[in-house]
Amino acid sequence: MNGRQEWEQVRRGERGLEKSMELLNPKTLFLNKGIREVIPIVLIIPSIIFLTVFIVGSLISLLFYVGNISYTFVEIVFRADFQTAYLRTLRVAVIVALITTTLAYPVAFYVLHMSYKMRQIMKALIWLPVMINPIVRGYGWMIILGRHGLVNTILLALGIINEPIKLLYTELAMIFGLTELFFPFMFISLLSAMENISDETIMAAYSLGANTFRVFKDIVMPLSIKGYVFGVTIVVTGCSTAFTTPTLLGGPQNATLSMLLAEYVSILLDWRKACAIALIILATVLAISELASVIIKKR
Amino acid sequence: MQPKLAIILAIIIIIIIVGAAAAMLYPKPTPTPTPTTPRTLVISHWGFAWDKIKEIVIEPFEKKYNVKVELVSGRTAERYAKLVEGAEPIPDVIFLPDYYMYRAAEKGLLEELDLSKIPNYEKLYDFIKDALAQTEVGKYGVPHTIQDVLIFYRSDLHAPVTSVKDIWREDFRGYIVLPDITTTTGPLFLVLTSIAYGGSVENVEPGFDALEKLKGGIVTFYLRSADLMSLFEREEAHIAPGLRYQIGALQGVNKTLGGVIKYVIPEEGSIFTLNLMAIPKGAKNKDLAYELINFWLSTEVQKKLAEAGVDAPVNAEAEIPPGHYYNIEPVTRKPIYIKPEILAAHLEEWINEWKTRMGAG
Repeated sequence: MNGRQEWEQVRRGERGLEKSMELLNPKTLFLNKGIREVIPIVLIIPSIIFLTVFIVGSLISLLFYVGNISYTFVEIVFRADFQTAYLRTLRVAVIVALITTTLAYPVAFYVLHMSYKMRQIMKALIWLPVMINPIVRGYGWMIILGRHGLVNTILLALGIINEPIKLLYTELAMIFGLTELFFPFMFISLLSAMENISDETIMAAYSLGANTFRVFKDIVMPLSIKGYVFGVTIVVTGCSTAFTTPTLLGGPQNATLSMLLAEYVSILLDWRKACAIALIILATVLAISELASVIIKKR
Repeated sequence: MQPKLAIILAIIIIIIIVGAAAAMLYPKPTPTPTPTTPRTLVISHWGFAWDKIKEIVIEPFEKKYNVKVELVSGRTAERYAKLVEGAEPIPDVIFLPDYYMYRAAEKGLLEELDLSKIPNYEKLYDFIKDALAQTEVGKYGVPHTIQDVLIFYRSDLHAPVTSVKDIWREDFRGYIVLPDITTTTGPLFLVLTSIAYGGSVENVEPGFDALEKLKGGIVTFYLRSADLMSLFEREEAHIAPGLRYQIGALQGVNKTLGGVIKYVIPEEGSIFTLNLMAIPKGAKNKDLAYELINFWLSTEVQKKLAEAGVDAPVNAEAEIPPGHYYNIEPVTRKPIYIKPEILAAHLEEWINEWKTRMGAG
């Protein structure tokens, strides 16, 4: 009797419930072994087509645009504006990664100890800034950091400064904005990693006399390192490719690689160099995430 | 990876590549237009203020010539890229700033225009016709609007401004906002500064020398016109050079600030740029394209567009009330034009120089 006939019996009520439930088991769902193996492959076909066309295809076409590859790369790498932008991008990305780490680890550890319901609320609250349009977020920072902004007003009122200090259109403003943007990503990757640590392990540590700090340092941190590396990769990648936030808060006098890229595409109309910059950003980000996973494997 | 999976992946990739190749080789059927339905004219335009343009230009034009106008909108660089790539639909009329139009003409992408088919061309301001006579792009494009550099400043906090050199006044230090060199205004401002300090359109060295002295007193460099408004609104800026069309937006800010932002044409002259209309090669409706260009330049359309605050007129017969910011009579006193050839030859060098000496760009 094949699967279809069996289902027909179920429909006519000729089979008991227990026997019917058995039919829903995916392993026996009127499939023979061969088909069962093919199904997962069939299911991933759409995503493979998508990736091939849009990622692999566009990367290959980028290479075609670059033209004489070695020449274009040498040309761009030796330009002073590229070097400044490259170093600034890396510097900002590393600083933001460090700040988000320092902020997100304790917060994630704290949220981990909350009840399930509170944890969901906290996650939603922390995730909120990501959902705000980057331009709106940028203008929000302008209100805070501007000449007549919140920070300057408070400092002036307290008599700490005599005239407004320049906070906006500096690298510092850029770091503030990017930290706000990427903190939730770091938080979520850390929390997911921490949630996978079994409660028994932590309980055992407590019962053996470890204090919270010890538990954090010797149990939670080593066991969440994978999530941490993932978080760092996201933050560094995001900072290197962010465009709106650095443009609004840093301005052209603090150009990053993505701002330079935009300039080559739309102002200088030099797509050759733009593609070279795009590939350099990609290579740097891949190198950093590779480095991160090498570090984690060594541990 | 399992061997079976690898084989399937390879097959999929081959199918995609073969499919893409076949699609490229397969001849596209050419649709035959039926005479009863109206023809479609494709125009490539920024799309700003489109509702007003539609009412003033497009709808009357559609009615008059029994044609349907289709808009392909986008920013300058995007639409330029599409033109270079030959993206379908190829527009019948494209609107671009003179520099981009020059680049397109250089690549052989534009039809040389037959000005006898655009009778309204004769009505353009003489100084505009003179400017176009100096440049190659004059053969390929006709202007539909003009933009000149003005100086905006806070009149309640500072003494009146008359010259570009006033930006260097001590009372503006720390409140100066400049256009970035990569904006349309940037190179115009650089040249204007050079002229003010003894240089010329070709010799911008005196301009750079002067600009370097402003370092430390500049709040930031703006990249978009909207940024300028916001900088005045947040009181970061007390003085900034900008283009004429920005007055429209600044009027809103001026209302909240109590009308304190004033603008002047610098005594050094009105340095200006033109936005052009042209017909790309491969356009399917050249006859209608000429009609649209001519229609756009007509006195009535130019006047209405100016009064609605859409575009400054280039037609000298379009009479705009003296107080209106799109009355460009004052520009005719001392116009200065940088032909696109100069920008094409020097822009990259100026951008590099700006980055090194101003630390921005």
